[in-house]
Amino acid sequence: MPRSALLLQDAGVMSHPLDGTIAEWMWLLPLLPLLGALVNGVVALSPYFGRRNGVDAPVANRTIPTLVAPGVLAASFALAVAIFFAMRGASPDAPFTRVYASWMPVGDLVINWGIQLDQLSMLMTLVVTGVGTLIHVFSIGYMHEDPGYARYFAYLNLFVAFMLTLVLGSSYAVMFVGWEGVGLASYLLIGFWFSERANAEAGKKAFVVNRIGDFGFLVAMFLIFVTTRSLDFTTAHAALATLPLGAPVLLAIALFLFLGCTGKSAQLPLYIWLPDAMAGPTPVSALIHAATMVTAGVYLVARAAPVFSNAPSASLVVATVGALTALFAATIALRQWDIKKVLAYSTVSQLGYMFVGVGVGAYSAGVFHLVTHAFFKALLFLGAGAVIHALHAAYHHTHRHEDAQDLRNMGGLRRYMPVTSTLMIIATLAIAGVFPLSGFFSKDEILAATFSRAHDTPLANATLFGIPGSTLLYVIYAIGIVTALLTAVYMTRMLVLAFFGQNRTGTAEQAALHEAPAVMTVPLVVLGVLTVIGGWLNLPELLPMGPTQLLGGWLAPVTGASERALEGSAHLSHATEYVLIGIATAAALIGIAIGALTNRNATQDKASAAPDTGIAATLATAYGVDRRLDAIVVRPLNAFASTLLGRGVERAVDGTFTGAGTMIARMAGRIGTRLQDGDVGKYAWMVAAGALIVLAAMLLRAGA
Amino acid sequence: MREAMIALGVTQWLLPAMLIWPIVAAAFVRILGRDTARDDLSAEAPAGGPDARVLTAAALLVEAVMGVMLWVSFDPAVSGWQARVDWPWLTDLGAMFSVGVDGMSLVMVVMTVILMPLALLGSWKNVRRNTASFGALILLLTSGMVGVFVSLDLLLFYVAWELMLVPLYFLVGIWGRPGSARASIRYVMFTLVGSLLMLVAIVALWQAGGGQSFHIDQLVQTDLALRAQLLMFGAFFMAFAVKSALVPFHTWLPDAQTGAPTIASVALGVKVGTYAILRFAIPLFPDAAAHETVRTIILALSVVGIVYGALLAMSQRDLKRLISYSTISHLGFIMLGCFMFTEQSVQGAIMAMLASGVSTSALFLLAGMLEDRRGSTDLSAFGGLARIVPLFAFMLTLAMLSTIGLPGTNGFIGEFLVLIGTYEERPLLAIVATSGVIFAAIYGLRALQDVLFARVEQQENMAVSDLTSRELGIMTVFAVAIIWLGVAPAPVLDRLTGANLPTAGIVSNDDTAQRSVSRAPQLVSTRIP
Repeated sequence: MPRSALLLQDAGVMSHPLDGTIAEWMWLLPLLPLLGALVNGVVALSPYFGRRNGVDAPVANRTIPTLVAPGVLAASFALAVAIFFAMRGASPDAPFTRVYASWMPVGDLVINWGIQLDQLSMLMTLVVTGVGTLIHVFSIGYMHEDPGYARYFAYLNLFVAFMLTLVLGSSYAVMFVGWEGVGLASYLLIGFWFSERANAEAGKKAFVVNRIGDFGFLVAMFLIFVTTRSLDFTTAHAALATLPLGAPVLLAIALFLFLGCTGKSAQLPLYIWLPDAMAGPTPVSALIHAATMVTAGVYLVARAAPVFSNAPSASLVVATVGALTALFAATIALRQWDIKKVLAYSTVSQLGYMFVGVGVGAYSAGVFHLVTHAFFKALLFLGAGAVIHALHAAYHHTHRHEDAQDLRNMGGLRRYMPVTSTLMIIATLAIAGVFPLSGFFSKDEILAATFSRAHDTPLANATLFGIPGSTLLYVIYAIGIVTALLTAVYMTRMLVLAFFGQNRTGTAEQAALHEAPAVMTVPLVVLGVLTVIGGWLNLPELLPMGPTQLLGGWLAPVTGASERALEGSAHLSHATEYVLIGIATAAALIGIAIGALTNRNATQDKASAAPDTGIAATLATAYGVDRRLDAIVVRPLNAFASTLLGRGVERAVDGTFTGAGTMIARMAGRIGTRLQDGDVGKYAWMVAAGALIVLAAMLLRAGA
Repeated sequence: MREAMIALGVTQWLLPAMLIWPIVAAAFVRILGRDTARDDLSAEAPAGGPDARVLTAAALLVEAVMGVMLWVSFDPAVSGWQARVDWPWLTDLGAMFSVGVDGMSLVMVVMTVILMPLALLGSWKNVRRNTASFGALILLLTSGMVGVFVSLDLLLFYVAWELMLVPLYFLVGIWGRPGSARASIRYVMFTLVGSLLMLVAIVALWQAGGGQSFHIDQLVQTDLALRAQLLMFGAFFMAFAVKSALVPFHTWLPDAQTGAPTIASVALGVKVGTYAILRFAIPLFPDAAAHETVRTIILALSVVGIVYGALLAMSQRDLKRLISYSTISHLGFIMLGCFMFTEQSVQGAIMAMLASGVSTSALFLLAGMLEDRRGSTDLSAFGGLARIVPLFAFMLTLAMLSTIGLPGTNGFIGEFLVLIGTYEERPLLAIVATSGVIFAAIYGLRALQDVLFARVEQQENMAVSDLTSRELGIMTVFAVAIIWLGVAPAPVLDRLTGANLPTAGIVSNDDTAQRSVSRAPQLVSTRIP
């Protein structure tokens, strides 16, 4: 029997409460969207479905993608919900793992195609398929006029398939397939409108920067394998748990994994691709570059919680990078004019919050913020999409070529788009952290966890570059508060500039401004409801407006042990908690006031506005990082490759061989000429010498 | 199925037939085949029998069918040579016509014989003159490549090795781009110097073994002093390193591959050199291969090659040159895997050879299709083709993603296994090698960018036609292979497990493996008890 077949028999020996339940069908979760991607891909490429003279011809069939793409997502979501209820009933302590096929069986390396379902992957699956379905439905309206309709849905389905592979994979290797696969889908969708060179460039940048992170992921996998001889989550984590706290190899694994996270989740210093990624269609920004893919890094840290919690210094690095990113991106967001850029930097900043959460070992808090952020940020992006859609239609109507994404061309949209603006106000309040919206609870939980762990916990006792952990955690808490204030400022600024004050779109255009169609507003409303009630997923014990700590309890079988390991004896008194909530709320309210007051009198549209100067210009150009990177890294690397290596080294190497060859040929030629000069006497001598040598050789051999 | 094959006695004649059939067919094609150029000129009524290209393709398809039969009749559970045939040859010297396959040669030979007809059909209009001679040379070349993979006798191997060289010289020189004569001469000079060195070493080894046999199973038992091993290994290695274009012996490859007709570019990409290293150079001279200095130099050159090839690929202006430099980068991974002597690294190296054969061939075919349509592969001549030729765009994207090692494609498997097999002993080398994935993304996506994306700025590109149904069929085979080998490589890996591979710690009945076990450095494991 082939060895790969033998290996398959090892799996599934132990019984599990989910055996024989609907959970056995979990392999369909990623397969359904993959099937959708295939169908839509065939529609996009095949001439039988109306493609003529190249892809994206306007006659291309729309019915099949409209039905199939959201259909497979809805089916996946329904299946996920069914599995969720089965899981809630069974409440298993151990993950439900199934191996379907052998992938890379080589020696003691055993890598299988397997799925691991536990409370964490279940939650992520619900978010991905749930929010994914809404965004697919929204896309029907948003992309309706686009000639690349089928291709768009093929990519979007492909993304979900890979995202579910990432989330559900039972080993680091399978997760990596999803990890790079979502990067591919992201690349294809950022460059979806590839006729604009800049869009394709943005896609390429995203992929290459992500590859730097993937490099870290790969090295982490090698380290895990040589340390534990396994890449399966359960086996590898069990083996790593036997290592002493803070062992160097754990630190290395955690840091290399985190390098992967900084790429995928756009943290310092690899955040640079995400703002450019806004070149893709707006629903893509909502799904991939806000709600799901970019949170994969947070998911990875939570998934690898046994590693990170066993390496407190690495966890401190995660939290520190998260905090710095949160602050850094929030300052840039203060002065962006492109509505999507504001949201992009806001996403980078909020991802930083999540990393603070998982970095300080509050895994459920970090994941909680991931979920609420998926709701309100998807809402914000889709709302922005509705606005862009409206402005685009208006400018199209009057044949003017103005920037449909620039905040200076908006203003007063509340009158034209009442549903969208109401929902955007809710989402803004949520992200600013106003009670009782979802963002308030999740952000507060992260800040409280940071504050509580700053005293007498493994984290507080660890050090990073000689700085004591407790100092670091207080600083991170302070940064968190400042960032919360800045968040409220820039989000309110965006809201006021877009929806309040006087309209700056143009007099003729105002007539054409209108609310989005129902296929777009209904998903918005659903997300709006989730944004409002999302906090009830994990109410703090301090505010028992319902069952408390639902999410924390749900995730306990997965991350509970790691969370307790870093929590130590940390505890906050109710009085302290009230103070913390007060500080956070005050920061939010002050921020909202600043944002509202400083932006209420905007009157100039983009064309007539004065260019930014001084610090405003610095922020508007995002500290000029891209320009400097281009000058310091990109150009020198290209010059090195093409000039030094291509023209220099390569030619020198080639010249050496060719030159040496020529020289040998010439010398041989000369010797040959000398030898064969017609002197018969010389020939005779040579024959004699040769014969002597042969004779001598034979004699010597016989003697030996 | 396998039982049926063996019952029919297929294994008694299959390998000799695979070697001899292309030579016989070459004669038929040359004599009977009609030159396509006559049809083009339509100067006279077609004369001279059937179209030479059709004959060649038919002969190659017969060869491919035999390859499939070989795969089917192979028993993965058995280690050692299968389908072995020993015929007396030069009995005075002890040379035998001895052929046989193990898992490694099986994989390589099956890939090659399937690749060749696909490459011919996929570049159908690439060559339009002297097609009878062209077809005959292609068939001779095929026989040479098959011979390299199945020979167990070193002298037979040497003959096959040179049989491969001569047709390629003519193919590049005569049917290549204008000015490729220089490239073909350089190719011959580079490889001939290497292979002559190898011939000297073969004779020396034969003599040291008592002058009785050229058979690999006999010669591995020869006891050699380290000094002698080092010299002979050096000669073998030079021949194979030059042929496989290891940095710094690589400069002939981009010139030859860019100038060559498409099918010759494909054949130049088949990794005969690294195969021969695994089959002959390392097992015959294990002490030399495991010699600390020698090995360190080779490993360092491999890793330098990975990064160097990728950086140069980044800065190429011609699509074919870019692909060629990408194979130089891949070769670094393969060579690294060969000399790490772990199961993962060596099997990974073979998977990478396979991937290189599939994906690089697909890329050269696509580049050839572009060249046939536009007369150029200069990257600046294109742009925006994704809108004009979507099927071509899809295939180019898939093949390129495989080349840059996207997981789920065949390109990932080999690189991943090599790196994971390298990390334990040489973490630093593994980390530097891993950085190659970043540069790969840069050159791969740059090629896609320049060819497929942005606006169509040159009017000629508007009229470029998409893949014909024949081209689509061929590329679909490649697409399926790319995904299949990426998702389910286990059938291949199972066959490699029983092969005679130079890995430490593997228990095998074969002396080859055992000897290298005892001599290769013991790996220090950091395994958790």
